Amino acid sequence: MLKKILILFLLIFLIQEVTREIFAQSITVTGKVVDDRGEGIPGATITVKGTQQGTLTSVDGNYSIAAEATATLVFSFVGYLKEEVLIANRTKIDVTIKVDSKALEEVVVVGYGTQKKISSVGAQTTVRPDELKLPVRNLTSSLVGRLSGVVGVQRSGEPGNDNAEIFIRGIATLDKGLSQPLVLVDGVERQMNDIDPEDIGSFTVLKDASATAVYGVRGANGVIIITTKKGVAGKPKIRVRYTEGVTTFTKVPDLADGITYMNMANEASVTRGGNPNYTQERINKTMSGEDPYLYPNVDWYETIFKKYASNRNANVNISGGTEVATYYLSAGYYSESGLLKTDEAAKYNSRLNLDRYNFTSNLTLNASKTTKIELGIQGNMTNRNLPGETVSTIFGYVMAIPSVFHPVKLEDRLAGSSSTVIINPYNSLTQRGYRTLWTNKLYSNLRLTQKLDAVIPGLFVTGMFSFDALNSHTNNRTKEPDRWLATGRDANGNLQFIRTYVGTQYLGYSTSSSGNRQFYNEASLNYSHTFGKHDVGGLILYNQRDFIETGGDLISSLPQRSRGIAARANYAYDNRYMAEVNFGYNGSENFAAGSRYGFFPSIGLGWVPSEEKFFFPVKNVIQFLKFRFTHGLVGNSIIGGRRFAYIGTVTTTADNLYSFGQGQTNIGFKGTDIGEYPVNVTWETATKTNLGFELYTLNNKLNVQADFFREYREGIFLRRTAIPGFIGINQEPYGNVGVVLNKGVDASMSYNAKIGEVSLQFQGNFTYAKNKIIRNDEPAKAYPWMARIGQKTTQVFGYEALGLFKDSTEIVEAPKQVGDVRPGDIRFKDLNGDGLINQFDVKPVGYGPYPEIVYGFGLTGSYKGFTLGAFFQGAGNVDVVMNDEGFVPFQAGSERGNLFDVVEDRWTPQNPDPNAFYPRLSFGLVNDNYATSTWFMRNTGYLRIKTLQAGFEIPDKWIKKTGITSSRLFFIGTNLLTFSKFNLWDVELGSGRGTNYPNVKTFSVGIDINF
Amino acid sequence: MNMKFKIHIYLLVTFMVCFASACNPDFFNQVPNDRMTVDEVFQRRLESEQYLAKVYSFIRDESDQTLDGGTPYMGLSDEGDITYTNHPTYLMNIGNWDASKDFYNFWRQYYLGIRTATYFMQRIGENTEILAADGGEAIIKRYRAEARALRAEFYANILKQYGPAVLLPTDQVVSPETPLTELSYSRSSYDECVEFIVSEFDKAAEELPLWYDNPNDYGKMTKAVCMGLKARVLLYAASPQWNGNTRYANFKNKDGKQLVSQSYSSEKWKRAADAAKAVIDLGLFSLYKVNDAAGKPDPLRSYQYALLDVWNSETIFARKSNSLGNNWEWRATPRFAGGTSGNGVPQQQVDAYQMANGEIPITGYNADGTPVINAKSGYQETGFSTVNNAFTEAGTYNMYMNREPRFYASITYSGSYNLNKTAFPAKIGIYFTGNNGRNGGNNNFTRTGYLARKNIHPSSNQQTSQRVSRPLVLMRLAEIYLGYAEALNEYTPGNADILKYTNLIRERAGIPELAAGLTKEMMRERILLERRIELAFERHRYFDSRRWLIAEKTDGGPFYGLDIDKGTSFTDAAFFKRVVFETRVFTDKNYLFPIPQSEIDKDVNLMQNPGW
Repeated sequence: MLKKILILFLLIFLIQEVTREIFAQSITVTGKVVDDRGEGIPGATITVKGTQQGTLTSVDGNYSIAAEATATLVFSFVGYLKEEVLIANRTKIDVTIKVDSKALEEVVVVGYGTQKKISSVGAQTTVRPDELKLPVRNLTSSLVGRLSGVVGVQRSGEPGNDNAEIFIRGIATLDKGLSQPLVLVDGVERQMNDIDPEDIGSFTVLKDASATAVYGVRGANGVIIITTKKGVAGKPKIRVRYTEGVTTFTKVPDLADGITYMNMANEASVTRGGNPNYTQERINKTMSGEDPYLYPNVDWYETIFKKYASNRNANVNISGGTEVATYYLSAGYYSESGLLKTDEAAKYNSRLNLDRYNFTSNLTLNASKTTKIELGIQGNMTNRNLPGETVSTIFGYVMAIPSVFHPVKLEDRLAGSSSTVIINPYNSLTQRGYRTLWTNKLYSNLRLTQKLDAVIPGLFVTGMFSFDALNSHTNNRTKEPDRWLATGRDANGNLQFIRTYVGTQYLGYSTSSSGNRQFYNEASLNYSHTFGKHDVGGLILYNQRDFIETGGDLISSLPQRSRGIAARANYAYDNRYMAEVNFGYNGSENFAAGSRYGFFPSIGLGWVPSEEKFFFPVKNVIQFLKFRFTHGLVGNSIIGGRRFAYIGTVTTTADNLYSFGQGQTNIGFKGTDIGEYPVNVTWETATKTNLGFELYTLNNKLNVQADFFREYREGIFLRRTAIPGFIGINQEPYGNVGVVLNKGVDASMSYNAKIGEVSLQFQGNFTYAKNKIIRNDEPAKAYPWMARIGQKTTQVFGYEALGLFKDSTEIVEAPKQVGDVRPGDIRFKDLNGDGLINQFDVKPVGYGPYPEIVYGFGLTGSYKGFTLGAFFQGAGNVDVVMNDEGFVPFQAGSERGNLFDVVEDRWTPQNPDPNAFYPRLSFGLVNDNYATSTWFMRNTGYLRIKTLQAGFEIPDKWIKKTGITSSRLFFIGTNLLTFSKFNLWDVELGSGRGTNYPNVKTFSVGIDINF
Repeated sequence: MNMKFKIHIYLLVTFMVCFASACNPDFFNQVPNDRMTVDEVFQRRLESEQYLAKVYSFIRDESDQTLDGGTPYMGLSDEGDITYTNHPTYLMNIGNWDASKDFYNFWRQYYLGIRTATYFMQRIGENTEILAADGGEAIIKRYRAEARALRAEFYANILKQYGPAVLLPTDQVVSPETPLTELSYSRSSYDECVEFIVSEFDKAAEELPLWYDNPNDYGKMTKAVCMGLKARVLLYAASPQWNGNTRYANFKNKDGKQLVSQSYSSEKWKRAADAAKAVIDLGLFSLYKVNDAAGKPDPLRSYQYALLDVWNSETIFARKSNSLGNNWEWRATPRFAGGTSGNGVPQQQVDAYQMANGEIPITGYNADGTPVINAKSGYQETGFSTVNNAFTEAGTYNMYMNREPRFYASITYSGSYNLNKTAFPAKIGIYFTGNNGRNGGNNNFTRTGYLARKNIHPSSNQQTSQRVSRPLVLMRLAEIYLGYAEALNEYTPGNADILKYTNLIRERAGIPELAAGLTKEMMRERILLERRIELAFERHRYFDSRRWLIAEKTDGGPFYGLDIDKGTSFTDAAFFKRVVFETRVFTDKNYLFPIPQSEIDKDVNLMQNPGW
């Protein structure tokens, strides 16, 4: 294969030689290209400016090219600055090209530091902070599809509740909640949700063992490293950014109207031998709308949703400084209102609203030539106003109440039944008071760096101290007002009512709060030096963390502590061969003395064949090629909800559990029991292997990076569910028993081109990750297809649907299914061939709720001051299982549960459509139609226009006199269009019935001004 | 300053900052201090008593007959119907369940109870605080005996629901660290389980006081309670389901061990009879009776208040903590009175009640489901009454006329009044457009046209949530009487005690006594009917129809109610028509619950119940 490629390149080379001859109408220029040490540079590119002509230097740096005598030659070589020379009739031109120190010195963020990009071997990926400046609150929602290796979903668009779930290279452990990456902001474990993107200086994701081993037990799920901006010496630079936008839902479920509801209800009953539920009279009266109080027809989503809401984002920052001190100061504001209605008449504000205030201050003080002190302080405060009832609950209510049950309001009274299940969503949203919630966060870090070049050149020490605090408070002012139902009209036509609930008239008050604080210290000894062709680096670091949060119980209130040592040694020769060793040695208080510390080593190797002599012949095709290989161990010490696993716990109920006594005497006892059994458990360990390459081609215009990865996670904490139930253990003890294998590939590419004055930039990335359970303490199943072992951790199990029964003969002949089975019901596959459809016929179905494939691509073009860019993001191999009341028509029988309007696409005896969406309707769950099966599973692969941006640079001459150096007007839209075969609800909301606050699209205009 | 010196200072400062707290050797030794440990639970009195309360809590709160928190036995038998089609009883009745559906999976629950009981017995002897108290040894002995009795009762509950149980070591709990290979237990035979349970009740009875001398102890295990519960276990064990039932010929463990004895033994009936008689002979209990204002016996009130009057003379065992008010009553109360109208009663149960003259109104059913009416009973199924009498007023459907008092205490029918008539004086209309009819009732309506009325306190008001709290009776003397009569009739038919105790029940119920001269089979029928009526909605019918192997007749096939989709007035005959509201599926496997499939998967030696 390699040979063929070489031959191909040689051919290309020859063709170029030939074509050169054809155009060689003028003079031939020869010469030598040397570096600043005078050594010839082989493989450097020489092109004639403005033409396609070009050549390469030979092994000793000599070249020969034909060109017109007046042309200009361009000399270029990777890692060196371009040099343009006018021929001016000369036939011999020797050129010295200078090392582009910027390119060679380009650094990347690695664990606990930075490294020269050229010599790093770890798998990491970065995103330009500019790409994260979207008019959304949440940084996490901007990441999916922008960085290779990041898999995620956003299950809700509710302001303040819209965090996306993010996984680095997918989920590699059994509990997805324990697969969250470690997020470090300015070197400290912190939340990233509320960082103002304007303040981000760099954003890096560390994916493989070599990059994360130094984080030891905290690194197994990958690490996200964010640094905030710092000042650069110079005059104060002021930046102002302001956007103002409109938001609307991406997709609101379409519900059936009242007439459809009643007709379908009647059909559901009649089609299985029952009586119609609704009289024709009632249907007619509902249809005519003559008395909407007694014959209502309500679209409940319409009663709670607004069409549009707004968001606003502003940031002002100033940076600058002197040789001695630099600063970056920033203040930000973000505000978003929700798309839920309010009652204008209410005496309180139940608006769904969020305001956030951020500030960031980074000061750097060069106390001496060798001493640097950095102080960073960041804070933000989020203020939220919410309806009295939680938003997700209200969505559930919409799906539980039929459209014809009662009206939104009864004249001036609130409508509602005595039911605790069928609840008027309008009341819940607008009549139950409000809640205010505020969260304050303060992050601080002080770092001291002392260069010790005087002792050993390249040696320096740093020390850091940080404390963070978070406080969150909620004030609840809620009530549950009276509810009424109309029973009819009296002789005068006045509505008659019954009161179905006696409520409270005034808002009550209750409050709750929570908080945490964290101390983090770090000290390290670093070394980085270059001797000729040898690059040597090293690190030894000590850190410790102490985190406390308010907890519901004693154990969760205790500090969470960890400490560890990390070390790294790296060596590179001639930018061609690299080797690196990393390790982390960490301890956690979660484990018994003696098994507290774990050792996590990794190695990394790199090779840059494009720097090898033999590569020069193809250097004009491939300018740069690097292979990276890493292998190592990382750990995870967080056991979901269970700390100090080595000690047992005792639980006591809060209230009396059981009482005794005669008559009036009532002697109650709380219940005390063993909560958890002590177990001697230890880390999860992840063995990670990564093989990747980086490539520059097409004259450095195209850059491709790809990494193949494999992770073997062992000792996953699991409850030992294989212990039989008759042993009677309340909570099965944990053990390090699970094993998961996760494999995949992630890749990214970018291409820059210039056509005349239009510059184009294309970028794309792709991630594929799929895991498999190797061991999970599951007992052997009766049939192999029932086993979770061998399947994905998030695998869904269900029946395989074969279609709808055509007629009763088919039902009789088919394996027996439970319940009332008639033509039009779903036929399932009998996997074990026992003639029955039951628990033994359940197998893995579909891809599950988290995508195996995530990708993104975008194209940005600019012409003079105009830019236009679109970024698409998509996911594949993911699906939803549709179920639950409201989606399942009449799941709980009559007059309960809403309906999707897709209900009309159903099987009926008159229209026995074998591909109908719904099988024969039913009242209640009369058979297994709605058991989890492939019938109600849909692929929710999608492609979204995640962002669309258009910008216009205001010409300098317009603003010259104002002191503004540059300014730009722009439009940004997010989530503008979604392409998916699934259209019942927003594709990212996941399984169920779409009862989450949908994701929102935003249309924003803004301005950027620099002074 | 010398450069080197300066560096040293910086180094020092840097590392001092970082190591200041780091070098603290206690950094990780911050286990929660001064907190309760299991050892301490068994050192202190209150904590031990709270642990014992936990053991008690595994006695199920049967006042919930709908969801997993309670038990499903009313809705799964021919005495009841839980309206909601999304509740498990509905799915189970139409046959839509299998071993993996985990409906009312109490297998694990009872074993949790068994483990906590064993662990309590294992460790309570260490309690220094109790030992130091006056009569400490005696207290410990009593507590241990309570746990022993509770454990026996949990096993008895497993036997009722699942059949043969896995018997665990009795004096020590199995360590969670035990290798899985050593946990592969198999089921013991039904008779072995019974022997174990009986011996445990006996052992506990020896160490427990006969009855409560301290009012605060009501509801705890006593000798009398143990004897009652034992009598119940023995009655079940003597019944056809477990006594030589050849349907279970192949119900064996993997090693071939027969789980259900294949030979009938009439001695089992004797044992059951003796155990029941022993309870009666204690002389502690008597049927609850009250007189009316005129000083004459009031059968309806006597029967009604046998469950409502706290710890009355008839109560043997009761659960003080329960959800009678906000569950049972709420679900059985009509909508307009703040209830949810969900605890329906099938027509079959309505038909079962005798007439005031003691006659059986309906002796059977024709193939089309129409009743075979016993002419001499005076029962009619057409027309409406024109006069007011003791329990009904003019305009009542004739079906409900002249029935025995227990009918009026147990069944809410269209045209009856709410028990709390003061707060809700309206007559209850269950016809289509009635105040408790299907029309406009969302899903809160009875599918059968009837609601259960027993064990609702007349002073409870569901709309204002004012509910009268009382213990939930789990065993009362009437059950012992009827069990005694039933067992005796099988062992020595014609024994005078059979009629005596059956008639004591009938006397309290205010209906004529049965005359002597019935055959064994006829007597059996009458005793079982008496059980069905007397103990209705007390979670007995489900088990009675199973242990007598009649459930395929009683619990499968068409279930009847009234035509709730019809009727516009109290006297609209369209409503009072028998219609099928549900066709229930009952196959042989339904005689027992399936052991959860997940448990079968875990233990290769754990045999699944037949048919699952």
